[in-house]
Parts: sequence; C-alpha cells; structure tokens
Amino acid sequence: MTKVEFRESGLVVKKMKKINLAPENVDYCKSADYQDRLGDLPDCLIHHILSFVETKDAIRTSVLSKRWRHLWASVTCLNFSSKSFARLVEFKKFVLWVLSHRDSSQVKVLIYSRFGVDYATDQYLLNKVIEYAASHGVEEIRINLRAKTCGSPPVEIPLALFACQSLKMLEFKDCHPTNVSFPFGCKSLETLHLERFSMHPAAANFSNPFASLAELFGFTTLTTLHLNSFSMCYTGIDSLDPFGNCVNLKTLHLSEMSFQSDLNPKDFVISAPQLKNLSLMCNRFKCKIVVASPQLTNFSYLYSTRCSFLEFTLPSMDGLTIDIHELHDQLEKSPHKKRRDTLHGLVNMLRGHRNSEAVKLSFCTVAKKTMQFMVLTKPDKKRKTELNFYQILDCWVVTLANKGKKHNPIPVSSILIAMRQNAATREFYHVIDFASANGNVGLELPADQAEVIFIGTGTSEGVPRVSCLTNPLKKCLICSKAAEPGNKNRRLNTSILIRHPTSTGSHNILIDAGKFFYQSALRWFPAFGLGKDTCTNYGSIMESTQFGPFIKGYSGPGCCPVACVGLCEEDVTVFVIRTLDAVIITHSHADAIGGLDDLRDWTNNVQPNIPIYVAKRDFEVMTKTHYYLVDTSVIIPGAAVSELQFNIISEEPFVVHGLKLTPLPVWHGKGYRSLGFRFGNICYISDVSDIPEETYPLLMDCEILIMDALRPDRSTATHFGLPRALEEVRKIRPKRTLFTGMMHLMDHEEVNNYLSTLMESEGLDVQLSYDGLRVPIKL
Amino acid sequence: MAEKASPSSNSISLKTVDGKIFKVSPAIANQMLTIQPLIKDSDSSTIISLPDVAAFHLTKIIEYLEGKPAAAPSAVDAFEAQFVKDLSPEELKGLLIAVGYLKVNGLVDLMANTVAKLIENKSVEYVRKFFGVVNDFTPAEEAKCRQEHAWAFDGVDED
Repeated sequence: MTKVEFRESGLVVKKMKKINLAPENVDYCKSADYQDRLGDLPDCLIHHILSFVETKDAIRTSVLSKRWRHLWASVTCLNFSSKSFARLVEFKKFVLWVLSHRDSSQVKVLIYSRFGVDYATDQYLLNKVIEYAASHGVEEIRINLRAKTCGSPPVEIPLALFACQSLKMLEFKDCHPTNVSFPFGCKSLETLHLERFSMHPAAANFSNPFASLAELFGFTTLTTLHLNSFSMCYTGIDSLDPFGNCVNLKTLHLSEMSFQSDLNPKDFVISAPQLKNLSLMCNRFKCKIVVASPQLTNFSYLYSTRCSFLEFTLPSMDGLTIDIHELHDQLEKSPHKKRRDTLHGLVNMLRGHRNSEAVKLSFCTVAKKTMQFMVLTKPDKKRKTELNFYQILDCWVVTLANKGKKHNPIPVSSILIAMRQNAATREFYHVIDFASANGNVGLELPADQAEVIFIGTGTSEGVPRVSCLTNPLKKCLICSKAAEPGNKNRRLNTSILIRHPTSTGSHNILIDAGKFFYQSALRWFPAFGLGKDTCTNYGSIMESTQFGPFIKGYSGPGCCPVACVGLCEEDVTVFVIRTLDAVIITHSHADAIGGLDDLRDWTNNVQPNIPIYVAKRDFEVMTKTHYYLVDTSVIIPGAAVSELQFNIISEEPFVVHGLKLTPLPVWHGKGYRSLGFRFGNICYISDVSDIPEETYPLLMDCEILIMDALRPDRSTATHFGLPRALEEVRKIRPKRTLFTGMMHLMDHEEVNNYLSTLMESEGLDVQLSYDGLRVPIKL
Repeated sequence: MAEKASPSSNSISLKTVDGKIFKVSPAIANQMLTIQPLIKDSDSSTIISLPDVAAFHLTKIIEYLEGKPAAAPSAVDAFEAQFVKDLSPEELKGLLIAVGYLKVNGLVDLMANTVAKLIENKSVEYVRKFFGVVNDFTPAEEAKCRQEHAWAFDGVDED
C-alpha cells in the first residue's frame, strides 16, 4: 500500500491511499484523551456559542478565566434586550458600555429588542446601535420595538441603516420608517421581514401601498420577503401587482394583511417571476388573489377571509406542492363557509391544470392528523357534500402515505375525476387503484365515444321550485335538498346533448333549448362544468360531483354499467362543449324553445349559424314567439341576434351531420303533438301523455329509452306519471330506461331505490336520470 | 478518473481517533467541509483519518446527516430537537468539538445553539464546570472583574 503522509494545511493529494488529516489545533494532538480537551474549545467555537446568547450573558463569561476575559469582545453577534434590565437607564448604560468596549471585529448580527416607551432614549439608543453596526459591516439586523403606547412619536429607522452596504437581512417589528424621501434605499438586502410596520403618512402612495416600501428596502434585490400584520390604504380599483418587479424573489410570505377600507383592489396579483415558495396565511383581503408566478413550487395556504378567493394562472403546476392548513380548533366550530372557501381556492387551482402530473397536495391541520380524519369522516348529513370533499383530500394524502407514492404522484386528472365522483371513499380508492394500475398515466378514454349528456331533467319551472323554498307554512323536503349544490334533485328544463363523433369530427346535437338553456350550458359546457366567473365555480364543482362513474369497468348502484364514458379525451384533458352543430325541437313549449335567443352567443362568437330542426306546427309558433329570429329582415341592421337556419321536419326520418334521427310522434296533452326521437337504438321521449299505436313499432329493439315521468303517483293531462311510464316500459321492453322531466315530487334517491327493486323483481333496468349524467352510446 | 469522480460509485472511509473505520457515501462526506476537498481525489481504498473525532461522535454526525428531513422547516426543527434531546452535557461538548472540527453543515449551529441554551443565565461556577475551565484569576482579580460587569450578574439562575 502506498502511503503518503499528509501534513499541515497541504491538501494536495498525491498518489496516496491513506490520508491523515491534520488536526486544526496542535494542542489536540498532544492529548490522547479528547476528554481532557473540553476546556480547550477553540475560540471560534466559543464565539459561535456566545453568538447564540444575549450579549449580557456573553459578557458574564469574562469572569470564567483569563482566557475568557476578552473573548466576548469579538463575538460577531450583538444581542441587546431591554427585558434583561430592570430599568431603562441601566439598559442604556449597558448598551453604550458594550459599544465602547467591544473590539473592532465585525458585527455580523445585531439583535435589538426594546420593550418600552421612552421615546428620547429609544431613538437615541437605536441610532447609536445601528450606526455602530453599520460601521462594523453588519449583515443581519433584527429590531423589535414592542409595546409602543399610542401617542408617543414613532421611533424612526436611522438613516445609517439605509446607507449600509453590507446588510443582507433585515427584520423590523413595530417600527416606523424615517420621514425622508429617499434618493437611496437599501441596495443589498436579500431577506426582509416586516411586522406591524406602519408607513409614514407622508410617504404613503394610495395607488400602490407597497411602492414606498419597495423603494425604501430595495425590493428588487430581495430573495425572501415576509410581511406580517399590515394594514394598507388603497384607493385604486385596478389590480394590484406589488411584487411583479421583485425579479429575485424566491420566497414570499404574507400574513394578516388587510386593506383599511372597503376599497380593495380588483385583484391582488402575485407575479414575481422567480418565486418558488409562496405562503399566504390569514390574510384579510376582500378581493381575488391571483397567483401568477411561473416558477412556483411550494404553496401554503391558511384560510382566513370569507371574501377572498384564489385563482391560479400558472403555466404549469408540475412539481408544485400545495399545503392547505387549517387550524384544528377551527375545524369543528368554523363556519362551513370558511372551509368551503379554502377548498374553493383548491378547486380553482386544480381546474386550470388538468395535465399536471406532479402536483402534491397535502391537507394538514395544526393538530394531529388522526383527529382530523376522525372529524372529517364523522357522518354529518347537513354537510355531506363538503365532508365528502374533505374525505377525498384526506384519503388522497393517506393513500400516498400508505403506498409510499411520494415520488409517484397521481395525476391531477384522476383527482379531479375523483372529485367528480359521488365522492364516496370507496369510489375514490377505485380511482386511485385505477390510476396506479395504469402506470399513473391517467384515465384513457376513447375520444370517439358517442354519448348522451343530460343537460336538464326537470320540469318547466325547474327544481327546486322557488315557491317551495319561500313557503312559510310547509317545508318541501325535496326542494330543500335540491337547493343544495350537487344534489341530484336539482333539475333544469329537460334537454339532452348528443355527442356524435364522425370521421369529420365530433358533432354536438342538442335536443331542445328551453328557458334555462343558458344555465344548463353554463354548468355543463365548459370544462368541468365551470364557467369563467370564479364566484360560482365552487358551487358548480360540487354540483358536478353528480357525474356518474366513468371509470372503465366500473359500475355501481344507480349507475350505468358503463364500458367507458367520454369524460376525458386526448391527453386526459376534459373536453369543452364548444360548438352547437344542430338543435332539434321536440315541441314548441317554452321549456323546449325558450332558449333559442340564447343561441346568439354561439352564432356571434363560435360559429356562423346553427341549423334548427323543427316540425312545421312548432315553426309556426316560433314565428310568433321568436319572430325576429325567424324573419331577420325585421332586425335593425347590425343588431346581433341568433343566426338560425330553420329546417322543417315531417314525421319522416331525417339526417343531421350523418346521424339518422327518426321522429317518434306522441301526444303531449289532448290534440297536441310532441316529437320524440330515435337515434341508433336510443329513444328519447321527453314530453308525453300518450303513445299512439303507430309509434310503437318505431320503439322496437330499443336499447336505451329515455322517457318522461313527471310525478311519482299519477299521470297528468300532459305527462306520464311514474306508474304509467313503467307500464309503457314493460310494453316497449327496452334494455335500459332512464326517466326524465321529473318535477319536485320525485326524490332522486327514494324513487331510484324503489326502481332498483324492480330490477330484482322483474329484471327491469330503470333509473332516474339527473342533470349532468352522461351515458355512452353506440350510434 | 471518470469513474472515480462519480460520487455514487465509491464510498469514503473515515477512521476515527479510537480506530474505528466508517464507510460513508460521498454525499454525506461532502457535508463535512473539512474533508470535502479530499473526497474527489480519493477512491474506495482511501482512508481518511480524523484525529479529533471519536466513533460515538461520528456515529451521531452520520445519523444527523442521513436523517435530516429535506423539506419543511417544522420537520427539521422536530428532528433537531429529538437529535439533541438525549445528549448529556459531556456528549454535547464532545460532539460540538467534533462538529466544529469537521465543519458539518448545519450541525455546528445546532450544537452551538444547544450549548448556548444550557449556559444561558447560569452562574459563573456552573459555566466553568460545564466547560471544564480552570479559574486562573486570583480572588482579587475575579472580584474586580465581577465588579466591572455588575449589571451582568442580575437575574442569574441559582444552580
């Protein structure tokens, strides 16, 4: 073995196999037993230890021995606290003594805590201390001036501080800036903490409350900024983007920030270009917080304000860790709305980033996790939806922990899908399992899957009925339930959308555009049923949990045994229903044609026109109800109305974008015809009181029958009731039936439970549909 | 040379003053600033002797470097509190010297801070005993010194 001695400081490594590292202190070598050396801590270690104690304590060590006599004088940390002195005059004497007896070595850190109210002394001492530190190359200053009584003049930051070029880190608590308009501010600061820092009134800029701070402390050089307990004045109405030019900022922490008046900026934008860590805790903004920093990797959020909500406009959330905090003691007592708003931000956050593969989500509480879990899973009927939601988040974390998937994150798309599920834990796990079984690529669903989407499944007035919710004498249980977001009793005007993929692309064919068409479209057409207005999004996502299961191979109670439903297509993005390629009218009642005018949004902004397929008698009604749409010559030139192309249909089959539709003439009240339609083996009859004999042959070999069933007890003059509808089902014998057009007496759960028993007794597969239900079909 | 430079391929052998040899990964060794310059030129047969470090201390240092959580500050705090909890004052001091000698990332601050907490507000006699300092003042000198800093002795804990 080649052995080359290694000595002293020569770290030149020659061809050697053994290195003897030279001890730092020669004394150490002489002593074989290191225990003997304990008294011989090197000076640098003693300094290190003493830099963690108050200067007063450090000085006390000068009595230990002659060696220690002057060690304190070159400690690089000055730590003054008036708490350790009974009287201010002693504190002052002490501080001045230290400054005059210290040697000339660098002061790296200055910590100064003053808990008193003597203005003259405070200002004098602070000036002295900061001047001293600034002239000794100070790198870090922490000043805490607590317990200022109001009325006493504020202690101002000495000018010397701003001239100090060595300063890297600054922390101020309860200070006031100097009343000087600065041609200069800090130029070298990297870290800044400000707590309860009132701006000098003369320096206040109401159009940007941060402007003077930014100037004073040189925001552009900062890498870390903590702002705590700020009350700001803002009089503008524009968006406020105070950190946009903090080009070096990596970490931003805002807590307990608020605006003094009700005047809040439109949006509070956080757009620092390099920002990696963002933490928003207990802020009381009454405005939207827009997180738009492209480099963000960690985000912590503790909810506090009802009025604020979050929007994320990040290019990618890959690798982003999101921490949602919530104080445990708030959890049980906290108003519902609070938790909801916390989640609100979360939902919005995930909404825009379905493709992100590596968002880590952790939902933690300050208290024990297990407790949280118990609280969250405790059944609570009133707050069912929300608890489910929590459950999902929690389960996700638990799942990650259990399976050790720390570096194998589940795609956000699956999470969203999970959220859209009925939200039961079991189903959620199903999603997780599915996702992991498929190598975490998300759910692959064929893009060319035809489907029927139930845009509305209720009566003309909609469920809940307003009159039920305002009735002081009688509480309508079903309408009360329907008023909750996400409840399946919530129904708008009966309508379906057929998605029909062909070689030339997918066509969206709408059957009926009733009075509530706009609301239905708003809810279901954009991705995840979410519109642009974030205020309504939270409700919508909860509502959208009522989507049926769309996991391959999964079928559950009350759900279609789907092979696969086209929720997601290409790249697991959720599709948006953009175009309306045709509208087919069943009859000319307001709940079928009332939305024709709303189609102007499509013809003005999406496509040149929409073909309407309508029977002659119904077209004649339209010439009266929508005369300006039928005969556009009455329109003032330039006015934007719906561009509709009317195609009159008879009772003969017709073809729309390659899809053959066969009218199914039925009675909708005595002497009034309504049309059902058959496409492929699906028959859709939304409004019917009687089926003429000649129509039955058209219903043969039906796979899915979608039919009117207004109320549970009896039929009316214009609609089937449940008994009659079932009778017709037995006669038509479709493979599967979904009822639609239900009024408020039909409780989704209750009726479906009853209908499930028919499966057992008679083999009838009959269920109620609901708004948002999607059923895959073969065309 | 290329394979030698690759950090994962070879472990570093460290020999403590009491003759024990520890094999550590270069990632761990790299956090000991004192030996850092030696690492890239050493291979698996190289043994680096550490004359100021006992086996117990090196064990603790490796435990710290391997166990320290990467992320959340709260987790780091908890880990550090646990790390120093069961150390006796003697062990603390020994470890501080070892850590100060090896210049271990992060651990120097932790040890110095822990020791600082122990001597805060303690009497001169306690601190002397703690550090093993031999009082070489004459009684008169010590009294004079105490007198000079009389304010420093208010509120000192009894031991």
